[in-house]
Amino acid sequence: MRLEYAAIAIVIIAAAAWLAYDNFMPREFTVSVKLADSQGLPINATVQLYADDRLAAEAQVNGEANVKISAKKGAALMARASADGFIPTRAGFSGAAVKITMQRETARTQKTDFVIATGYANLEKKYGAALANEIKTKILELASAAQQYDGLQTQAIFLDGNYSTVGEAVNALQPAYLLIVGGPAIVPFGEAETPLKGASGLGFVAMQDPMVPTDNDYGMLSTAEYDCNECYPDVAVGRLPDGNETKSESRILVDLLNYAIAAHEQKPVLDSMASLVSKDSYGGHLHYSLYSQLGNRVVDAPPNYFRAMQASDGREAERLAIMLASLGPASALFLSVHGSSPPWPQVFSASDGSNEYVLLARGLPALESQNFSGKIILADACYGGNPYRNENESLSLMFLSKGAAAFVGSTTSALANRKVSSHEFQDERELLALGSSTAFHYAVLKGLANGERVGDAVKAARREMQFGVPADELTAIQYVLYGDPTLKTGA
Amino acid sequence: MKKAALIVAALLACGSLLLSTATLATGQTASYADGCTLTLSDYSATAAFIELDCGQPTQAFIALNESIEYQGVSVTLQSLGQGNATFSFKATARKKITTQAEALDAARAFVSRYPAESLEIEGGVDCDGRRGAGKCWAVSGHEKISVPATNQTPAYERLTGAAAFVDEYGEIVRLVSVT
Repeated sequence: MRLEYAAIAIVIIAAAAWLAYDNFMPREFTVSVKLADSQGLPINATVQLYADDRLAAEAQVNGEANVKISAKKGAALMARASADGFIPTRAGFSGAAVKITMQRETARTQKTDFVIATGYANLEKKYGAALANEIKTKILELASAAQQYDGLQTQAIFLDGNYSTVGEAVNALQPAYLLIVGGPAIVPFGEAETPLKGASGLGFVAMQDPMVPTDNDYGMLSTAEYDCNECYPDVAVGRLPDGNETKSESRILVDLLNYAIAAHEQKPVLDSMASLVSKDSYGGHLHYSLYSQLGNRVVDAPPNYFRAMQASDGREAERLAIMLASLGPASALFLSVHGSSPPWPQVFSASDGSNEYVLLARGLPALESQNFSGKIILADACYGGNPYRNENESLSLMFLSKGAAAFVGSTTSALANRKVSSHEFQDERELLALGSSTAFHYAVLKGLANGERVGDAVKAARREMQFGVPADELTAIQYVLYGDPTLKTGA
Repeated sequence: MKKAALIVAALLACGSLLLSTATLATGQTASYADGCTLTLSDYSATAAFIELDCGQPTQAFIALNESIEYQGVSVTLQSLGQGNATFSFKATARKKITTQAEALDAARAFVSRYPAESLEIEGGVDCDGRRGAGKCWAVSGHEKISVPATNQTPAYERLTGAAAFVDEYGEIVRLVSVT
């Protein structure tokens, strides 16, 4: 062996080892963290620092502090700050310094706890005088139940006297909770321009959904001064929808109000969950932390035993019956599936990357005969909560009309953070910091499990969405809560 | 020793290090790198559908002679036929992404299922608010899926797509997909 070859090899290997060490081995360094409100005043907040989506450090920072972290060269660094009275804030940074500007929550004078609002004239137009009057009676019963069983000072507004719009009533009374009774024909949805317009990489979604139906507008106080007012409503809003028809004889609103009244008398239980998960949406997080504590039963869709079948094989009903039996006992259902856009009929489907499998569609007897009494339904599916479908064509209304206590779904194409498919979580804060619908649903469930009212849980989940991140802004705007926002679950 | 040293030097100079090859039938799994596996889910005459797993699985279509970069390893579909598919695995050197083609290579595992004409690559973008402006590439693809009616379920259409935000070192900082 010639000596010079060996020497060259040693030098090259040493250089490669140094490069590997320099690039891949974590190193400890100090990050200078500065916290201020929009006026530049210092804030005392809890700060977490993340490196490549992993929690690297947590510290209490009063205005300014140095925090040590360990991260490899070139790691994606991010800081999250939270403090009472402020919107939680995330900020990406590079180098050894991060400045976080936090938005102060809107100051308000709450004159009542809970407002239930509907357009009575529109109820009469849609349902006729007799049924509209029956709905009105039920709304008053719900107001009494909220007062009696939950101690909530409640006011029913029919937009026929003191207030001509929901927004006017909300700004006058500044309640903590707002329940809108009726769908688009009774109280129209807001329409926000998509935050994805001009967003890098996501223009194709903006083309599909230039406008986003939302109820957030009704929870915005006129004094709010957030960077994105429609992302962070100050009032927790829920709605009892009734389909897109302008004329109907359906008693769905009476039924939904009865369920809401019953849920005040006897709280639904949240002690277990099951997830129906499209194979291409699967992530290990579904077995982590709270999901694990609730015994999340993950129904892989399509299940392995259906792989041999063709996508549209005429055996959808058979598949459905088996899947529903698996989901049946759980008190919360997480549907991590795909959804179709109006005017196409609504389906929830699954994909294994090459085949498409219809999971849920209206009219399937096995589904229409189910009872979803008291269940919390979290639908991580495109158009899962789109309001512009008729009553008998809407899956959200199917769940609600069969007793579901709450349905959380998106009005347009929803976006998930697929880092969950290649990330092993070591802390649930890592999951919450991922943003998009992935973090949103987890945050809602966590709030409910912590004993929060569902409206508060959804409101807090919106606040985990970061202004400046288009996918997060879209998530904050597009998700609607169908159900009474004052609903609490029992242990 | 002399040959090995020269091969190492040559491979490092080329920016990659051949780790191994594997020939798989449908459903079979091969291990590579440190704790990663590749499963051959299905294949046609020109492409394979695979599942890569370095902790959590991700799926990808890979065409013949195409390479996919995943977790620091380049996976290449070398050959197809005789009821199996052969893959090679190469450790890739850490280098800065400077071209659209390199950004696409880094994100290919996440966008390969979408039609080529839908692929968009944009440089100099914010990593979705995570690292300050201008440090990332956004690589996206999408497709509208049309499903015919059956005797039990209706016809429908849905949009599918994903956007991968690739940093200057080829790491996927953020991966967003349509649900």
